[in-house]
Amino acid sequence: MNHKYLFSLLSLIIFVLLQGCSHTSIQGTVAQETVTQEEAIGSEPAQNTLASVGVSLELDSDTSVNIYDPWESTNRKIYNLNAQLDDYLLIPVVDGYQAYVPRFLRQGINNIYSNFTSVNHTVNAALQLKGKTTVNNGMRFISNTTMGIAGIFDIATGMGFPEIKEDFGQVLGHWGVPEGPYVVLPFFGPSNLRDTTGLVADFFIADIYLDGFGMNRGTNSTTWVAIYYGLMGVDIRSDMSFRYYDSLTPFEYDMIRIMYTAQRRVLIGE
Amino acid sequence: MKTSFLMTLFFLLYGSISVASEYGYPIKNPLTATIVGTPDPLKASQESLTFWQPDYVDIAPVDSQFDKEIDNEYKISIFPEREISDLFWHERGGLKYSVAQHNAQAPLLFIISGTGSSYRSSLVKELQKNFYQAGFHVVAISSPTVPNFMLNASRSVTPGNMYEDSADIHHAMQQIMNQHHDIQVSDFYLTGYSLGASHAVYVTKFDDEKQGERFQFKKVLLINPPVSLVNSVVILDKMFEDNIPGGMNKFNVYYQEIIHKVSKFHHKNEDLGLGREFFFEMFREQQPSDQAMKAIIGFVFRVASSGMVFTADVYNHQGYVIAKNKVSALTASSSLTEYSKVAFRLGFDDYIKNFYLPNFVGKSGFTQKQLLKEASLESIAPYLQQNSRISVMHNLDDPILMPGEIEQIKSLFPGRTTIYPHGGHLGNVSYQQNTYDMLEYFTGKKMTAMVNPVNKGARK
Repeated sequence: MNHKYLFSLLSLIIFVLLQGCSHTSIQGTVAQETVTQEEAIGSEPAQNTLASVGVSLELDSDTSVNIYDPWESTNRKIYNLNAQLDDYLLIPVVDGYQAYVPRFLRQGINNIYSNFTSVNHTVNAALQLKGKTTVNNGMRFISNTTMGIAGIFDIATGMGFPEIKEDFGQVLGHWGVPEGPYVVLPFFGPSNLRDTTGLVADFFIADIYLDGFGMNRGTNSTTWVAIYYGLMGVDIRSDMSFRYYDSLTPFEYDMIRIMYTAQRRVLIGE
Repeated sequence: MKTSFLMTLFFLLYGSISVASEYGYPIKNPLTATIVGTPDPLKASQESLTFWQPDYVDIAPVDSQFDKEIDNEYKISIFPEREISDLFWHERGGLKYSVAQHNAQAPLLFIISGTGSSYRSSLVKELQKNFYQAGFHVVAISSPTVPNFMLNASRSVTPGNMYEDSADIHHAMQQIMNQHHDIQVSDFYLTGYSLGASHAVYVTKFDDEKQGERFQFKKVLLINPPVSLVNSVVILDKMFEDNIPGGMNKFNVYYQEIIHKVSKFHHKNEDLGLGREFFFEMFREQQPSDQAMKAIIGFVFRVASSGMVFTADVYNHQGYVIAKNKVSALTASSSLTEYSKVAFRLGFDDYIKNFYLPNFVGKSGFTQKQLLKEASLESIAPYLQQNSRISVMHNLDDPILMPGEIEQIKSLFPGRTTIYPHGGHLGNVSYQQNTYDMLEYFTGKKMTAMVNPVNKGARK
């Protein structure tokens, strides 16, 4: 039994499940409906509307700011779920990781993961026919795995082979697959249908090296894979300064949606 | 992610960095300074600050293997009865703030953030760290313009009135101190930057005139305050609206062009990734125009003000951007996209005229004119001129001031202003000399020429 794409599969399942229960509130509380007097009487439109401020639908039809998000309600629920996951689990774990695990060890762990994923970066660069990048990423993996002692030390950067990240979502984009609807994945956060597919593919590519280290075989494979991806999650999260609801705007979901999409379009060169 | 987003926009803005003459902060273009701030190597090092560090300070050495925050974050419930809508579920539980506390008797400094920024903004964190090292307990408080403060600590949830907002801050400060009995405080000090500096003035005034328990602030420092709230708001509104090529209706087109530019640059420099280094490089190569920089500064301000406007409207059922009968239907997963677009088009100035003023005219018994006048430091000139505990740090080229306002500041705080020749709006706050000047001011301990690694100059 293979477990490597467990997380992304799990994400998809949760996504599909939540899709079906669009009326449950994230907090599990009953919405406090404070019907004021004005509300009971007034059903007049707001003082300022799209029309009154001059946002006409015609001008508004471009896709840089208006991201296709047909599953918005579900996405927003998962966004809030992720915020809570962050608050109650990930951030406390990351804080402890940074406070009690010495920096040299964290750096080593980060290097090991970055070395493993450079296999993904190499394969994905090749699939986009990026010759130079493929060689760079391949050389990086070889030198760090050997001279860097299984990737603990990053000597490749100093040798002129910097990390150039390439994921399978970029491969799909490169070959013209459209981004599809915007998706917020549990745990992973913002994505779209194309990048979600890419994420699953990247878990398959990870088989190559997990196999090589025998991590996904034998009786303890579930434990090993869980440890591998669990620590990887902590490593990745500890590297990100992003905090949910720290942008201080109630429109954070909208902002992230625009930013994520822009960032992916830049990476893919759309 | 937020950082990288802002960086995405900031890449445009990298201006010329020239060599210092007397005052060493290197960025001469005020807009560039406002956006870029102070490069890390030009900030005060932990080592240089040991000059002010008392024995009781327990701070990790720079080369520590363990990253531990000096401050702890807390929440305090000020209006426990208040119902916060599901939409703002993440703001429930109280006002957020942070405390960096010593296990000894020490002076305590309150920091009030500027418009749209919180107790954990990077500037606040920096100030907090510096003052903590210099022996202060430091309590950081968000601006009354951010949703968490509005919903948990503001009586009217309608920011804009200096007196009321500052009384709210003062009340929150007292509640916080009641919650932390174990902090041993010798004296209270206060600082704030930008709009937070204006609040600091009115908090001090409120404290001075209040009956009962008071802080009796020993010293107060205002960092880059506006003189007139309205003037500065209009400047910032216009910075955005007037600098989108083709006007606000072309914002999306403009944004698309920026994405294309970034994309092109990335294609040529794939090895840089999309992090800090990438944007720094792009900044340097693209040399953004002043117009583009103004648009960015205005944009950041607009993001903050649009969120504030929406929060105030939802709480107060004013029908300003959301129809009154639609408010109660909002849930944690409602789409806000339409409202974000509307609010994004409305400036802070529009909010003052069509939301704040109509609400406060009835309540306060003042006319609109009187209320607007109240929002200027000029309205309390005699108080400021006599109050020797309040000092100001400002920049000659601060873009949020109107011409002549720097002169006004000098006359409002005679002999108590430090005006730097350049630095834009807050660009130089983290610069080493500014840090030394702040510490000197609050501790009264002058750095000797032997220790001071930078040249002093251009002080007024």
